[in-house]
Amino acid sequence: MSTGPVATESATTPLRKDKPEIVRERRLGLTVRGWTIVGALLTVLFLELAPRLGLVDSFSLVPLSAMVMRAFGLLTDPEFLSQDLVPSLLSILVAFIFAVVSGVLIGLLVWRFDWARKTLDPWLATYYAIPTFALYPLLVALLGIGFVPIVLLATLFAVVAMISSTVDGLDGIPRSVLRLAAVLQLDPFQRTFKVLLPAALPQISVGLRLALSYSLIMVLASEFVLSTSGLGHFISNAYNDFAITDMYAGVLLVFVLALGLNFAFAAALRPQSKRVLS
Amino acid sequence: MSLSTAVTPRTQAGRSRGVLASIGWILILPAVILIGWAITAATVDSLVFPGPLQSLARLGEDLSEPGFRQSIVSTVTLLLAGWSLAVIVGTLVGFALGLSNFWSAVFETPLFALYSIPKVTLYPVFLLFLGIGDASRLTFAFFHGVFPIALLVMAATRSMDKNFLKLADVLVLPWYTRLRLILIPALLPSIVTAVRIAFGLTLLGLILAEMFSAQSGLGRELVSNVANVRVDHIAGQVVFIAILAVIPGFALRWGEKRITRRYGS
Repeated sequence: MSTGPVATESATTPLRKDKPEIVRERRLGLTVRGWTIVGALLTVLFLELAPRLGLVDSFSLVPLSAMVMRAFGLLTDPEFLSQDLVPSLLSILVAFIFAVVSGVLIGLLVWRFDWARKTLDPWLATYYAIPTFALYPLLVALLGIGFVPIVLLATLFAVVAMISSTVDGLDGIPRSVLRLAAVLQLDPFQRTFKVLLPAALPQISVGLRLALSYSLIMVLASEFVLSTSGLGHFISNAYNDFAITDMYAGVLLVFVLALGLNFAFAAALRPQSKRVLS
Repeated sequence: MSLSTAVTPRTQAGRSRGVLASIGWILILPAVILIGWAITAATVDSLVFPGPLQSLARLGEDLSEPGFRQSIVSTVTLLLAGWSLAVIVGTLVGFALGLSNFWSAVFETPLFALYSIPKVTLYPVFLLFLGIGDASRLTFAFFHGVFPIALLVMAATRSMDKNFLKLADVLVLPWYTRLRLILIPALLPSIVTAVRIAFGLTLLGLILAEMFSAQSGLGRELVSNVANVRVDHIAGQVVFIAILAVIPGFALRWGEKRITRRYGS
């Protein structure tokens, strides 16, 4: 409950319990899935027809089919791939790895040592009130435009979610498990990797998902505001050049990437957390 | 994470000592950062790496300029407006959807999707439709903060015991009694959490929008210094923004703890 998105995560859990009855229920002749599909179709229709019928002027919105065509065009364009897509993906991946490794280590520290907890705990809950992004101009001024400030900023943003969820997970380990580790006389390394972290895994996996989505958000935001490459830079550049179709194609690719990563991650983690829980 | 006050001081003196101690612990991290910064700056001894004192002096200069003060007013006004709009709309929508398990199941996926996408890439769309100005900044800040509120309030409403509402129907209780006895105890803890989270997100959205394009605002001030490589000014302003965010951040966290303790979560 220290970071908000962790709390929203729990918003999805009660749903799973009462799903069976809801899945069958119909309102106005449609199930939940039916309404979701209708909503998606209406959005698609609006995005396609509004600019074509002149409901929205064509300088502000292009038809969805044009966005999709252009997005596919970009995906086969080697310059776009090497200048924009790959740098973004690389930055996201590196920031994610840094955030996870340092977040778990700091989380273990906070859990283990009272002084670390007393110093960091008040800031863990308040950290996301600070617009971390304000640091980006400073990092750029000190380190120059490029890969380093982007990765650093994304790591700084994602790491705190990782720390919080690691501490939450470790705090939730039952006493008996800790006693077992003591009885087995494991060395600190074994204790950490064979007992503590596996026991905290359900919470840590929530943190992993958040860290990934936070790295993605910050990498794209930095590229968007001040950068010379990356997907975010492609979109802001297209906007500045009035290349509206390019801009929307870029936005579409970002959404597909973000949602794809999110759902892939959720799907990959589901069996894992079940195994740990059972 | 219930680790704030391990000992509960009973007397007035004990309580104020407890408050002082927790403020002391809070200040350690900024102190360490400040000292580390000063030492690094002294070691590097470079014009492009100013120390904390120099940066704070530049911040003082900035604060005496009417243009900068105008930017502060503009950012704070838009933040308050966007944040309260996000709280009101998010709470109402979340509550309305949460009353029905069916409709919350329908809207949960799109709301979560909108929450998790990097919304900054949509900012040009706001600019295209609303133009460069306060309207696009305000709407974007609102858009940045509203989804987590709706999701949290929706989850809280859905998990609320609906039998109380049925009982209230049977007893024909007036709306203010329902609000006081049923809705506030059930929903307030989630709403304050949502309000706190929305604060950070709204401010982040606002600063992002200002950095990309705006005529005034703190984000604008930061970016305009980058072109001139005025690192000391940037560092001073970053400290200022952090302080501006941290004070309401701690106040909201404190309020949230009190309310959660009172109503349980």
